[in-house]
Amino acid sequence: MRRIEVTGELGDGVTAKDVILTVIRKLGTDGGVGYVYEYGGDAVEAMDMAGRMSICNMSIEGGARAGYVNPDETTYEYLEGREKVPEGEAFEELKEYWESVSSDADAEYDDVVTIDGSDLEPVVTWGTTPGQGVGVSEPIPAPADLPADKQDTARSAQEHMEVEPGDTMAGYPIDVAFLGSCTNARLPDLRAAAEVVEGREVHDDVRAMVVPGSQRVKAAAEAEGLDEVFTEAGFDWRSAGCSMCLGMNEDQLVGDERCASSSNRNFVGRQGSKEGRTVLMSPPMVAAAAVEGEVVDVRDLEPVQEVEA
Amino acid sequence: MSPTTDGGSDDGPADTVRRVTGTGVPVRGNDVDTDEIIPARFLKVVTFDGLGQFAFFDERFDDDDEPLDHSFNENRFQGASVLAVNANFGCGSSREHAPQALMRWGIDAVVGESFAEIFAGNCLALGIPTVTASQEDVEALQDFVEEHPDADIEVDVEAEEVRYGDTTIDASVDDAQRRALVDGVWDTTALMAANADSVEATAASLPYTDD
Repeated sequence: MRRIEVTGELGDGVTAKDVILTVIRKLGTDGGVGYVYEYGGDAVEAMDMAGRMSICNMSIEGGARAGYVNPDETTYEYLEGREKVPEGEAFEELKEYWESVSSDADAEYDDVVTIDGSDLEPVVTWGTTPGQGVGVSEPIPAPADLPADKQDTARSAQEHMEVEPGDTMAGYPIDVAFLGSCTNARLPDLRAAAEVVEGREVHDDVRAMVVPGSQRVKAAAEAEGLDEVFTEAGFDWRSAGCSMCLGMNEDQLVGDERCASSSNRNFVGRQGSKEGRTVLMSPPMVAAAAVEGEVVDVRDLEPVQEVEA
Repeated sequence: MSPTTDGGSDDGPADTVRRVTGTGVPVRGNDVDTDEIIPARFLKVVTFDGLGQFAFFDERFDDDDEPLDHSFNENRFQGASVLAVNANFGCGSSREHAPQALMRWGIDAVVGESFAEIFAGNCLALGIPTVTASQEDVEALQDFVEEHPDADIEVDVEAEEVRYGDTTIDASVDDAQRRALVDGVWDTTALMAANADSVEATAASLPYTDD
């Protein structure tokens, strides 16, 4: 069991996805072998369930067997009243049981890793594994500066992605923006992305699509009018499904297209074309990339001009 | 050369896998992910039969389906059953199709520096040992296999050794995996079916299962 403690408060524009990409970057795609990851700390406690699920989902990308967050009020509020969840007394009994299996305050772990959440910036990947991430304004590492067993993979990844050490990922042009996957297309993800998209337009050179994480999310998003925000900006509003998370249906990259993607994997060929390039990032970062036609720090977008009616 | 899996007495509901012997095939490189082992577009099947031909497909064939340089394409490695790989093999998607494709290509055992855990678990569920050894030993094994594609490699799960030519290397098999293979209890479906009473008793004791 490894405890991953994310301290402090995440800054504006920094999300759960940036936390987990940082975890995998620090510990490696094989760093979790033999472990289950328990996530906690102020930043995780402050997160909604969608964010916690994004983190736990990608534990696998860090090599861990599983990932979880201890149940708390956020968990109970999320569950209470949902379909198939027992009500009243039965719910209280379940809560007691959940509390009883939750980690004790003095629990001992095989390993503890602490990450300062207040120090994070949006993270994007520069390579072809989820562990090859970098802060959007940070230089892409030189393969020679990486651990010995990661250097060959890094070299072939940089060749595939056509990126150079020392450059930043900011400015990397994109052809496709994919806002989808069960990792990162839940309602709060779509809300955060819609906030970026509202009043802006998808770049002329970009094909952009939203694929809600489930039929239920799709319906809830439509009830809030999020679909209109996206379609007015030029996004395709699609039905729920795996879509470009793994390129099993017709939603695929063509040739060597470059894709800003909120999904969880960037392996060669993952989005259907073996020449295709996938850059993983958070939903608001995908929205910003769709608008600008290149990878940008979502926090640097010019404010939308208010137009007089 | 046809591979042999050396079984023993049937202690469990599945065959015992104590030793796997057969010729080898190397696939070099760290962090080989399951999308490389079998690309997603080949997953839309109702049976795993026939997946072997798609193993490492995008590395074996170009866009016009013309063969590329890859050990799985080489005549000398056809019929091989022991796969020799490097570090973090099988990372990424937990797709069962990855070990299924390898198994159906002919692989019965994998020797590597390290494995992604879910991939190793999926291999175990098919009775395929994932045996680890040092980087130096694995690279020497890969070199040997390149030079002697017809030579038998003996993967001894029980003794935690890999033998080839005059060489014996110390290998390591996760304890639970070794027990499951040696005792013939790696097939969890068969194991549960053989112990239905105890499955029902356990289910009844859990607070989150309905009657």
